[in-house]
Amino acid sequence: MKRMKNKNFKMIYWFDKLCNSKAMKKFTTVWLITLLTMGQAFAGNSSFYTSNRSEEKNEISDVQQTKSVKGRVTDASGETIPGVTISVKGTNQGTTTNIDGEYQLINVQENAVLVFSFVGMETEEIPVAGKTIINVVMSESSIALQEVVAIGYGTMKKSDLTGAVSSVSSRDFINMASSSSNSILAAKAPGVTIRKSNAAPGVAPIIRVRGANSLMGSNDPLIVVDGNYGSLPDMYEIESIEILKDASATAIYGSRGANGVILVTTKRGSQKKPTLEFYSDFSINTIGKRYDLMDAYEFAKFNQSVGAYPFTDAEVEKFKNGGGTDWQDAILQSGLSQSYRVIFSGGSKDIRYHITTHYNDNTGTIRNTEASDYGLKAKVDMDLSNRLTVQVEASAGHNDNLNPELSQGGSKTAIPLMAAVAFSPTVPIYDENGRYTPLGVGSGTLMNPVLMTEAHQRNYGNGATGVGNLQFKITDDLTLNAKALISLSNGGTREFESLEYNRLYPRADQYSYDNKNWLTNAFLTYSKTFANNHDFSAMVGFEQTKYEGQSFSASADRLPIESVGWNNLGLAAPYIGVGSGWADNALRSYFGRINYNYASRYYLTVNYRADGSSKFRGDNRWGYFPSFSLAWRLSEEAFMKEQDLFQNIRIRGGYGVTGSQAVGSYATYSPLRGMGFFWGGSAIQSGYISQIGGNPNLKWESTKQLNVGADFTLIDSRLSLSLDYYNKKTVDLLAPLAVPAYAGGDPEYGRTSVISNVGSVRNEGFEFNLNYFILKTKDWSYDINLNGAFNRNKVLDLGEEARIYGAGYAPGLASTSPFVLMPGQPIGTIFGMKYLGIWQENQAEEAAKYGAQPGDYRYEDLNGNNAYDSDDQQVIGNTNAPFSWGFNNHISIKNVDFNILFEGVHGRDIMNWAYLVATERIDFTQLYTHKDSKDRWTPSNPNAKFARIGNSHLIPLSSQYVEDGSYVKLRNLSVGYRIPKSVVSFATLRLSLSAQNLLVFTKYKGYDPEISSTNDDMNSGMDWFAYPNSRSISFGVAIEY
Amino acid sequence: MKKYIHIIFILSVIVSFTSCQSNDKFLAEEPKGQLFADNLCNNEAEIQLLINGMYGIFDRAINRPYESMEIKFAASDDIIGTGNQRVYYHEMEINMPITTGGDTDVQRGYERAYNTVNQANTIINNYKNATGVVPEARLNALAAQAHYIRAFMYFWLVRFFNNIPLVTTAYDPDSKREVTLSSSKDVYELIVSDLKFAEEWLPVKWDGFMANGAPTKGAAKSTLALVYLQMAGYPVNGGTEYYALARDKAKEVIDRANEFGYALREHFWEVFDPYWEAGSRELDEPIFWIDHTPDDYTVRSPNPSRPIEFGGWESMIAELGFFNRFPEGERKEFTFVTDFYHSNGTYYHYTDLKAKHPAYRKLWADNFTPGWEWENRDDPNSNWRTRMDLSASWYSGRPIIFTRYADVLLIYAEAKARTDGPDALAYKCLNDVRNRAYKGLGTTEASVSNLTTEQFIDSVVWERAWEFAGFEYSARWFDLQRLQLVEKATTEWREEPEEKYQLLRPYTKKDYFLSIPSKEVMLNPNLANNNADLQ
Repeated sequence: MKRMKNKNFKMIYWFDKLCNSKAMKKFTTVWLITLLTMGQAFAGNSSFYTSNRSEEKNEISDVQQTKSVKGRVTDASGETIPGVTISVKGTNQGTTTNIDGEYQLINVQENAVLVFSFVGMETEEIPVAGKTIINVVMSESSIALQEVVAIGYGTMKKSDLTGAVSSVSSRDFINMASSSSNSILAAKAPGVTIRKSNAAPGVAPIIRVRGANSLMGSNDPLIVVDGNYGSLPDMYEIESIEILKDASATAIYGSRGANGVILVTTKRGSQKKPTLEFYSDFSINTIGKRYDLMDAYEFAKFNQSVGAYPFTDAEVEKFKNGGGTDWQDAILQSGLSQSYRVIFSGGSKDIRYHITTHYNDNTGTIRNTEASDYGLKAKVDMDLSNRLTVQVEASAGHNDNLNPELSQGGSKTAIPLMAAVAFSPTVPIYDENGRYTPLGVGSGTLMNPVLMTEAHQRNYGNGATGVGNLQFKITDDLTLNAKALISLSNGGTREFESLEYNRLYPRADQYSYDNKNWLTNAFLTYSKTFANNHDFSAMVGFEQTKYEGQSFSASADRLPIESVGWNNLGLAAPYIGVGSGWADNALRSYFGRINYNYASRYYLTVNYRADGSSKFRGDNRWGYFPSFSLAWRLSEEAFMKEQDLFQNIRIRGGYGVTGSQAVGSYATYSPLRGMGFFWGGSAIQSGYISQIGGNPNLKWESTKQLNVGADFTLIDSRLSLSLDYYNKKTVDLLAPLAVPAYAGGDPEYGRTSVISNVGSVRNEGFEFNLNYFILKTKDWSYDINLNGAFNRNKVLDLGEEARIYGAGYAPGLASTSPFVLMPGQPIGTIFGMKYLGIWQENQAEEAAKYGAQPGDYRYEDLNGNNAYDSDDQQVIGNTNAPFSWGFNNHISIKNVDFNILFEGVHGRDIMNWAYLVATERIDFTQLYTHKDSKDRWTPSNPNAKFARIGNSHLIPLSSQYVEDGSYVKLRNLSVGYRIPKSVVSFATLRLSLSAQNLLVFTKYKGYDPEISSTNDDMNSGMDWFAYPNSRSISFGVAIEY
Repeated sequence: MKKYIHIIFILSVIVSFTSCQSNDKFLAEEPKGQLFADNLCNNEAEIQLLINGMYGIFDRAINRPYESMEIKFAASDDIIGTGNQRVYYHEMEINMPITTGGDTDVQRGYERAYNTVNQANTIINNYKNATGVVPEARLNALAAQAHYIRAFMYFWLVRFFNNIPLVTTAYDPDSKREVTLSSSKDVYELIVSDLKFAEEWLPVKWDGFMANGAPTKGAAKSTLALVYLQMAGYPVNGGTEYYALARDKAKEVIDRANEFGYALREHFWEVFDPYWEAGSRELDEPIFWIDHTPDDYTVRSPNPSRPIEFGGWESMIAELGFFNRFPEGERKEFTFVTDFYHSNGTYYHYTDLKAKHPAYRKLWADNFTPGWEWENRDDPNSNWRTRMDLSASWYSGRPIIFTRYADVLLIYAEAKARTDGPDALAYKCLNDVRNRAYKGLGTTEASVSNLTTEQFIDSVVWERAWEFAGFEYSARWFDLQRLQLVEKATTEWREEPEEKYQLLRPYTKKDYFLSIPSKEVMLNPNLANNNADLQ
């Protein structure tokens, strides 16, 4: 703590600097101008904001003095509303409505007041006053101003928000197959992109909020589930999701908030009789598109004719009448996913519970890939007194993933899709002895694609988490919250390679990890309204967390008996190896917030957080993250009460700083790397080699973000519109600086780069979100959501570096990465040669200067030195889409509802080297396999797609292989049908049928424009045979007893 | 009272949640189990860990299929890729049409070689930490291995690239030191000084596991002799002065052959015995080698050479003229395979193959699998006669010999002849190698005598070509380079049809060396045009 005091001066200095900064002055000016303009526009208009709420209360008096209350909640059109939260005012008692909109509360005091709240509806407060049946009609309020939403370390009325926050409600995904749980946010909120770059079973999609700021590792937003850092829970468990986008909202998370924060509130138990819900669904997944490859005869004949392989005529003729193998068929299959959930919930006045169990299983579209998981989560809430509430959560789960490596790019010996495209169709899957044909013709080191899928690798994980939360109302105005969390996880990898697969020895290994993570926090919240109009609240808190991980590995390099697999590694002695490892890191934080508003008109929020991370040394250890924001509800002003066009107008703006640790444990060290040596005899002597990597001077990367936004509600609250502009700048960017080989850069036995704080990146963008209730009758309703976001990403500065190269790909195609960072260009820039087509006969003289002939590929020679060299490289693409949008339609007709969701991503480029492999001869595939590749240049075919046979130049890193990866997908099309009580009386039953990715509109030639062989933002547009997304058709059942 | 209880409650909760540890203690990192170079080297065991690691990376730098640069530089006559699938490996990095890939494979060889240099630098810069703990002679002997390996690696690099960055310190992330190209002369200077340190301090024999392959005094002297021989020729052009140094250094080894334990093995094929165990013969031919586990993945394996009919790439095969000129005898029979037996019963003479080329038997089927013994090659049931397609592909189990006694003999013979004419010892050196190659050591049918100095030198140069043909550390290519015979070897000596070469232009001195890989030039533009002065 002493250290913190010394830092106070620094903080004050920092604030002072901030307030005098250019950006602040600019911001203040913009803010004032906006206010003045808006003020003038609406001056003199004085119609009152009128609520269109209409209530209907059916009261049935009950002579017996029962304390039980039940009823039904419907909307204005009479349709029942499931999921409405009903709480007893001033207590923790509450419940939610079931699928039929019915609820029951027991032990309600007669003088109690029930509060009915639901996303998108006006909150209703109804006194019980002795009634036992209270049916409520809720009216829509698309701005849902009274709704309480989660913010970091607390909750807030939605109307009081001053930051950029998007909400997603369960009605947007409840009809989707639960196997798509991970994609529930897709196209739902502007500025939030969800992309599944690798669709292998068990792989989570990539979520980005307002573009990528950081280069090192994660740009993933922070996901906070009921106050715990974690991952998105099962969709049936989700009550609501808020996405905090700007720094004023995320700064309370300090060093974790730079990539946005997704706050998830899950369903909890409520006071009701025990209820059982059951959900199941089943999907069939298929790959929609394939490469158009030659069959065996066509392949043999063409490759013979162009001299690519010396097939004899007899060999060619053999395939004239069929035979051969369609390798895409051989490794692709229809995947099946199924998932089941059982949820128990209920409770009494003082103890409420909610228990969910789930099981998922998903077989992939590539042979021998599968993922499954199951788990249980129990939440129990207890009121120890009317001031003290304790919540306990416990969860445990297991997951299992078969052959996840098959989906990943990198090694050319382990990508079955590549092998399927490049392997010779003349070869049968099995030879005459029933064993896999090991080698193709002319396909070099590539393995039989089906044999490749015979790899047997199992990744498994077990996790258990326990959470205790305590909420203590010290006085009516002062609350203490405290949390303790412990999370244990273990898991690992088990691998077996048969003799047939390995071709030398059967081998097996196991790797396991055992991790522990704990967190504690405590915060005090004070809130009070002074003199009716001054709402004030303040929060101060403390948090610390520590991670410790251990790992262990063992391998058997020559198993004498295959059948023991990985279960008896010791059998391979002395050809066995062992290893172990340890890592830890810790983070300690202090934070606080002040909220103030005057008469629900003028709002101010100030956040401050200080984070200390073990990953940095000395003075670089602590990072300070302040933010503030302002909002003005123009519609509450007296001069606005006259007009009736707008029901709500709010203008808000904020500025703040968030950070990122962006590096792993020990990034400031350069530990040695194990490298044993065989000195003869039977055992390897252990050894170590030095490697580059550590940089003791690392410090926090920080992101400064300005956000200005406005929210409007108009046309009788049927239309709501939010607009946001943001400008965020990440400084002290943690970037990997490539180190030349002579200084120790070695991608295979070491590292290629050292992390340094260099330069800065800017993301600037505009977002809009529009909700409109088009139609609303008793039986029919139709509403739409349209959202879109423009984001412009630009690297501003890289210090002394002119360029920073990304990850290398496909050894043998290019020696440098296709992706670079360079000032003035976005993250994800593709940098290579500009392709100019094919030299024609009348250009022979010019071509000769490059050692080329007519029919060869031609590239732009920027420096005019008659050679294609690195100085001729230029920007040839951008892999990050500047514009994306979502269009979501909800239609309901009586008991049937439809959801139609389109998503568009525009302006994204992809480096399609998969197509190159299929159409050209390269080092490991010496033969042509794609039908397109037959279109070769000859003097009589000058407009051919591809160069002449024997072309002397082929530069893979050229714009020839950069394709437009823009797409529009019909993400979701679903129909749900609620079976009327008159048909099935014992339970509530609901059926749904949905399709994901049913239609894809794109010019892209590969399997799927959404995929990428790597996940990080700098290298996000490489198609090196990544696992494509499938089209799935799902059927779901939901039952509630 | 109630308020009082509340305050105690709050305080106890806050205290229990706020760990008593100070920030500095709580946030301290504990990289348990990690080792760091700068605090290692305090005793022999710690230095030995780094030495083992250095050999591990050295092995990869020089033996792995994608990482050994020689496979990409087969522009010689003993190795040239004229097969049907020659573009499998970017063997023709110079002067041949390359369709894709640029220099990515050369990049790997370059990276691995410098990684080895950096490991040696780490030891050289830190071993003195153990001064006083380890006796001086022992400490210097340990460090001398690092000097030897650094010299070996720089010798390898300088012969492939000529002018290269010369790095002798460990990497420091804070350093902004500008690295530029050093001339090959400066590189050779470091190589010679490293080898001098090594020859002074390395022991004649190592004890324990290091007896199987660690460099010795004899290895340092033999390598130094070869370095001098190379320096005498192109591009250093040291001339007679360096031939004399090479002669004297080789002579030292020959004079102390009994002490060092060197002698030729009786038959040529015995040199490549996969079952050989170090120390099994009192006098033996290998001088510096790496033992291999049977599953080591290496460029000295069947795949690069065997025909596509047998699952190989036939990208590394001898130029036909080279094969035709190769003198008959045991050595030719062992070096090449001309008769091929497939497990499906098909027999091919090499002229029946799609490539119409013999393969290098020297590289073939030398794994530990019983049934591939050379002695059984004529047994009709042996693997050689029934199932050559089923041999190993990228694997080899035999020890990889970098320097052997035959090399020293021929260095002496050539250097002696070039300084003051061949003497009796020079003739003996040459004839021992020739006779062993023909019918075995001790025979005399292949002896030569009374040659002019020119003729003598010529036969030594060719003898080196036959003796080290194939993948014996690019000896032939480096000979062509130092003697400036590349132009001749790529034109008048060739018997292969011209269309198989598709040379872009006639060879020039520029083609004697590789360019620094393009990726490295991008990272440090100072390294561009490393051979700008050559035409």
